[in-house]
Amino acid sequence: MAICDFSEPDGMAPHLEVSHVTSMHGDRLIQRDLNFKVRHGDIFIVMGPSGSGKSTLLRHLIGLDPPAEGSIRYDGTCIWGCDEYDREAIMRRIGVTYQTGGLWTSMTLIENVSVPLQRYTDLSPKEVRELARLKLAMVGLAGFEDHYPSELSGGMQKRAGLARAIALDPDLLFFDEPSAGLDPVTSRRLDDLILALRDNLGATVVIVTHELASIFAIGNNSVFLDPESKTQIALGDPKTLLKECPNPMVHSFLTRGDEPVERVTGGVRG
Amino acid sequence: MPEKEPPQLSWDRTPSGNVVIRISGHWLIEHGLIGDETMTDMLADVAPGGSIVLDAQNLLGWDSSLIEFLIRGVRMCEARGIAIDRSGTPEDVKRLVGLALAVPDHPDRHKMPVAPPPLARIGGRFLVNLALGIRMLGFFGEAVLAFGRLLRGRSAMRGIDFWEAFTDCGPRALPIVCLISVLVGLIMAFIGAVQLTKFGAQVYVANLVGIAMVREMGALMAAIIMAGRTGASYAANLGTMQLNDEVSALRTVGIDPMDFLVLPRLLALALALPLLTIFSNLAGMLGGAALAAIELHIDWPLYITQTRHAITVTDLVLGLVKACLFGSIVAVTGCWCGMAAERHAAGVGQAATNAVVLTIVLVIFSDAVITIMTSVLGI
Repeated sequence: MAICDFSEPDGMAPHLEVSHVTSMHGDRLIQRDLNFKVRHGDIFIVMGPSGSGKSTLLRHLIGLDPPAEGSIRYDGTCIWGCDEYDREAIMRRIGVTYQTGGLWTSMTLIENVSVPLQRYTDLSPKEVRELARLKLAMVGLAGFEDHYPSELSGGMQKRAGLARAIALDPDLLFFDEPSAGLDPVTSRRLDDLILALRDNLGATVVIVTHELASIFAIGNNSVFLDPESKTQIALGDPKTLLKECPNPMVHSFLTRGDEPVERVTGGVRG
Repeated sequence: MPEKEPPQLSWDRTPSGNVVIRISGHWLIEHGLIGDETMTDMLADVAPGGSIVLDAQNLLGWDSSLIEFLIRGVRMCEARGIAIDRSGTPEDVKRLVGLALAVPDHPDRHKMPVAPPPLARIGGRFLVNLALGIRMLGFFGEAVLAFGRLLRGRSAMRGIDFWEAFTDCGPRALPIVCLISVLVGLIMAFIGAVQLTKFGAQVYVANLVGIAMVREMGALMAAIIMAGRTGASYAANLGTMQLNDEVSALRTVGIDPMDFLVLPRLLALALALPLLTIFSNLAGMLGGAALAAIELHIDWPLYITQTRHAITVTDLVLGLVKACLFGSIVAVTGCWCGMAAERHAAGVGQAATNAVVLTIVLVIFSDAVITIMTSVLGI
């Protein structure tokens, strides 16, 4: 089946470039030959059905696990798959918000946000605390500095995770399933927050999600991972893909199966 | 409630070779399912090329038992190439059967129970454990490197984490360590007394208990208690952090989990265990002295003098060095089991169990090695 390629190269060097990436889980192939570019300022969606390898791809992108093959470059600097790489410099410039928040449960919120600042800067404890307080205020958690993560609701934990991710003013922000486990309104607020941060920090955003509302509300570029053929089958703005991509898998995903090409009926065989 | 009529199944062969199956009564799970033999008998009556018609006019009530019967029937018919007409069944039955058959079963999906021959299984287990052992050795090495970074002042370890771990595995573990040690001292004195009294050498109970506690039992008992108390808690703690992406989060902000999580725990236990051992030694001797005073009528000053003559500084230092080593083993093994835990709730429980078992094995094994080495070297 042909790839729906609606990506719009803008002639500028991409912020993040994935070339020929293949991921394996032991002997099992997860995805092969992924190739896409994330432009500066994009809100890039990595989408696909459950089990298509979205989170595995994210772990390659954020430098946790190496892909089996292929290379990943940030502004031309390699994080995996090259002879010379500078992982630390890249990690310093990216922020990650995990599915469950990933907050360190033994620390208060302000301590959580302070850790990256302490790790990468020589600021005094007082300055670190001030900056951490500011980041918490930016995600709407002013006043919760000395709470522990377990004392917060799921939505607040995600926002606290976001505060930690933006502690070092990253220019690339990653989100793993930001709306998982949130009600529609909270999830919408989180989307608004992501947009506001993108606009104000000037960061590029990469979101792994299968939440349609978010995909159309904030995404302006995307890659679709197919669990069956185990590779990417669509690239480009999700809204364009919805209108133009003839691939039945992509189409039924983007329409929640409302207009499926091949309808599974309760029909009787035999 | 009126008596439920049991399910009825009967079939007739029409002259054309087709079979009409009549189902009536209440088809409920509590009446059990229709056996395979009945089904085979029923299908055997269908002439080649014939078909089956279902008649459910007198069906009074039904649940999954009917659906199960129909689906099994459909599958068996398919296998034999017999057509089946289900139009005589109620609408909702048709829909449920359709739902269950909508996605056909596929042989590729089934988990094949692979049972390798016993020798291959033993070999496979050996290879898996060998790989685990090598990875664990690597983890020990990384812990040593992390300690090196700390000495050069380039570690991300936070003092507060060390202090919290230390207060948890030091002062808070003291009561239980002392209690167990008193009892161990008491038991050793009791067994020694029975034997030594035969030779009229009761007073040597003090030597027995003193040397055994200081050289061996003090450190060993403290280590075993800490393996159960603290090692398991480290494994569960780190396993859960792994599960919650906390470890990944550390790595993405460029912090080595070794520095941040393992090192404070390692230092805390390596420091706390020798201290606990000193208390354990004293408590053991106290237990021995108490038994000697009650059973053997050896008074306290005599017992103390006898003990002081028996124990050398070498014994004491040897015990403390071992305690430091055991503390490191407890901490690193506990942390390793937590970091290597599988990412689900049962994996964390398994990690805690592994931590305790593995730690006790490693501690006693290394104790045996040290004891043999010291005896060969004459220490």
